[in-house]
Amino acid sequence: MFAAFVSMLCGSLLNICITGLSAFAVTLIFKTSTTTNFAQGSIATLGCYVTAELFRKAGVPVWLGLFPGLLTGLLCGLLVDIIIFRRGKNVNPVGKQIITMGLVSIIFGGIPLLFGNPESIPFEPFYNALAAGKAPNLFVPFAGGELVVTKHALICLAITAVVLGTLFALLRFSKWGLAVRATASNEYTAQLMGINSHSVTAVSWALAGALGVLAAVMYAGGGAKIGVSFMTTIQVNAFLAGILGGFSTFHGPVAGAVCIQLTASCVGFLANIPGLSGITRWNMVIVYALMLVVILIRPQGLMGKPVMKKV
Amino acid sequence: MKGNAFSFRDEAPAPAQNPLLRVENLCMYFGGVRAVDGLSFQVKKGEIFGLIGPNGAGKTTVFNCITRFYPPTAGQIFFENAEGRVIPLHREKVHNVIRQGVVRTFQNVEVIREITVLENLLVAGHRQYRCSIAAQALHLPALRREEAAVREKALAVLEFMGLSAYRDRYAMGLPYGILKKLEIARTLMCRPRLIILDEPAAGLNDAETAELAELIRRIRAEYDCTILLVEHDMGLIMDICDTVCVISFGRLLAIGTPEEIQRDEGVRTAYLGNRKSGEV
Amino acid sequence: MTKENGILKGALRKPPVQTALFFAVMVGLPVLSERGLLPHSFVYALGNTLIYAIIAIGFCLLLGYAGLASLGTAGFIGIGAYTAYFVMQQLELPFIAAFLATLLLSILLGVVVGFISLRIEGIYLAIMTLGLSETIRNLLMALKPTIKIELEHVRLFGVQLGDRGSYYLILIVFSVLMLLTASLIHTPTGRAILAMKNSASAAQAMGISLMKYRLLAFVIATVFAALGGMLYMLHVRTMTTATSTLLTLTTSLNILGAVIIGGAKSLWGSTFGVFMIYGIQSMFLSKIIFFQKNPAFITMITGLLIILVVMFFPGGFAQIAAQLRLWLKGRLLKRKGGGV
Repeated sequence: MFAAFVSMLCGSLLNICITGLSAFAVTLIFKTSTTTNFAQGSIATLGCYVTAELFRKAGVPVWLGLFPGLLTGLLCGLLVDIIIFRRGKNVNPVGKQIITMGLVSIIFGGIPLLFGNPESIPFEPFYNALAAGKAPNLFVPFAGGELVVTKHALICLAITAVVLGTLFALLRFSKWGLAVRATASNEYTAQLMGINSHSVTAVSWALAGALGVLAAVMYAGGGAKIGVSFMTTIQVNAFLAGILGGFSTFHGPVAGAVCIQLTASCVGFLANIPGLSGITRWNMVIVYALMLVVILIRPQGLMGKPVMKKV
Repeated sequence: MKGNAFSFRDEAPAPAQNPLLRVENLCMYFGGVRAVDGLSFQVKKGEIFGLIGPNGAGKTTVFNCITRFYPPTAGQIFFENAEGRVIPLHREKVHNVIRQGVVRTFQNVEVIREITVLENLLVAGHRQYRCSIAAQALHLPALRREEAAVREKALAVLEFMGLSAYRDRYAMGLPYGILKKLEIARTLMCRPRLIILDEPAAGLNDAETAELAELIRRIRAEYDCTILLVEHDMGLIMDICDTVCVISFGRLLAIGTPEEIQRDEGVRTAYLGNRKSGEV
Repeated sequence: MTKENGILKGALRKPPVQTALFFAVMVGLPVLSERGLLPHSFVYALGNTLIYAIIAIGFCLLLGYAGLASLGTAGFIGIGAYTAYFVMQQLELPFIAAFLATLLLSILLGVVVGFISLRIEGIYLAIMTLGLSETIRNLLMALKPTIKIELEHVRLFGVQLGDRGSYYLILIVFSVLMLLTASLIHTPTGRAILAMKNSASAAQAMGISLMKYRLLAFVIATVFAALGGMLYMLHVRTMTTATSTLLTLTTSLNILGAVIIGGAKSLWGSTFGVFMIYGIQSMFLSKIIFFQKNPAFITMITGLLIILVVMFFPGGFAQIAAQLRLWLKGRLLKRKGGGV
């Protein structure tokens, strides 16, 4: 039973990586541009389409096609910041949210125009075990049972750990990280102190775009059916992870993402208990409801500090 | 009822009279910061009471506790309402404080910018409407009657404050001085008993400050109310206050007439620093 | 002449007159379609658009007046739609029962969200309501993948409603709600809601209970959205909960976009915004061959339009209209001056 439980948790590894990366990207933009970027998922989808198109038309393997995809996300983010957000500095926060929503419409409309509207899009994981004639899963003996982990999930975990680890280290120790944290705290003061907040936001948008594409490619590689809005659920989860962990820190949302996916696994595991087998249908309802209750109890998020409003 | 403002100070209130406001052992801690730390004072009926202290002494926090924006960590606040009963103000909800006749202005002008000056005053008369929301949505005659009554009152207040010319102007974009007056005008809409002014002279020039002093006296005379203010302009405080209360680091330093305060050694140290430590 | 003009203009500003005019224009359209002057699908699409307009005016009050950004609209619509299905199809009860059940449930939900809004504010509230909406969507998906009301069950006071009947019902509900909301805005309640948005502290100091008016704003928005969902089930009669975009973030964002590009503080502007986002696409552009072949192109134009309006006309179309009127007046005065 215990081995089955841990195996179940391992099953959520890939989702943790995807949501974690997305949550980090959302936080980066939330902190530097004070908006929730609804286009996060759409930009990611666009990049994933580029990778998929290279794979389908030119047979470029996904691990290689990832890079043009990342570049697409990077450029998209950069363009959005330079063309729209830099000029819209005076737009209020709700207005900014709506601008990102307009972007969603443009990308949603643009993808079918660029790539057509195929029924299904072929895709593969980073390491195509089937093509290499190997098993896609690893079996590890554990506590009297067996853990099943997909190789794809392990590869994604390694990539995510390296990427997020590097980013956290940069945020903490580099000059760029200091500039990001200063801009996040107060953009005008940061500018007065000689920080080029323009380049800080531009880099943040570019980075967020690329991270989104990375997450999307991992998601598609894990077997998700690519479609115009296939990242929507991930993105919604990333936002929720943001407020669950608290947007006041960078690690909070990532921790929130881990919490959400682990809870989903745990609730799913309850289905193994006799009499509760119907619970799978209600899985996400329960997870969301639990999360909303936690946020209500701790509005500042699990990792955030409460703030007193000044009158 | 309407006494002459200038002779008011001479006829000191009878000592047996209950105080209008009694703050007892008020404490407000923010985490480890003791913004207000065991403060007690009384405000007599009909006086102009000045609360002063160096920056960060906790003056605005005291106001926020009295008007229930902050829940005090400890302590009690008693207030004598219109019926002459002494009520525990610290048990009221923040939006019900106005029902007892306690009204306030804010340090950084808080007006409703998207509506006109007149409508701002109608908002201040909010608690005088009795119509249900359904009656309002249907524009029943009862609403029109109430609206006319509140409107008339608002026009009178505008006249009194000299704001009639701005009646139909949107608050957004009006000069700072006018907005400050508008905030004060708003406090006059509901039979005020205690008006709390948070730095009314901040951002005003000398002429405007002199006008403000005159206005505060006129308000007390015309509306027969008590005024409690926080201010940094010592000239204004010493000019208009009957009683001045000095606080420093959330504790009471001195309380008395302006003359007594000016002579107080402790106050001088708090403001100018201790000579021994070599500060200016 | 000028006096008459003035009276006419004054009357045009009155909500009852505006609503009556709108009603008069809209009520004739099905007759035109009957005569073959308008395609049948036009009226059907118009009915759909009016449903979104109902949802939008509730949201307009919430966003433009109360200043509360919610992304829960889709969930509230879903509640209304499912209740209508459950009461009318499953229980086979009459319309009035479905109406009351929807009203009751949506008021409850509005109160809950209102309480949440007292603890969580701003963008956090938007995400929180988005979470709530997703919860509801998943709930409906778990309850039933496809909900469908048979035509024979769509009865209003014993009379079966066809396409035209449901169109008239939608139009009447829209007009009544528009009239009530437009009237409410110019009352102490409307001003209190606006005061709350401008300065929560000042509002409280003036005796306005944040709780009362936030709850009210959310209840109104939720009830309007749920009624919209109910009317959708009467008009369209079927919905696939698992795939319908009506229940996803897209709908919440579209309603938000409609209100913003229409002018967040203008009810008629918001209605116009809905016609821009939903109406033009379903009523006109879908008839043009180029757009039929490339439906995605319309989505792109909508997105572009939204961005342009938010960046350059923060007051939305209401602001554009006001500026245009001023400009025309200026031109007119100039010409008159020249004539004398």
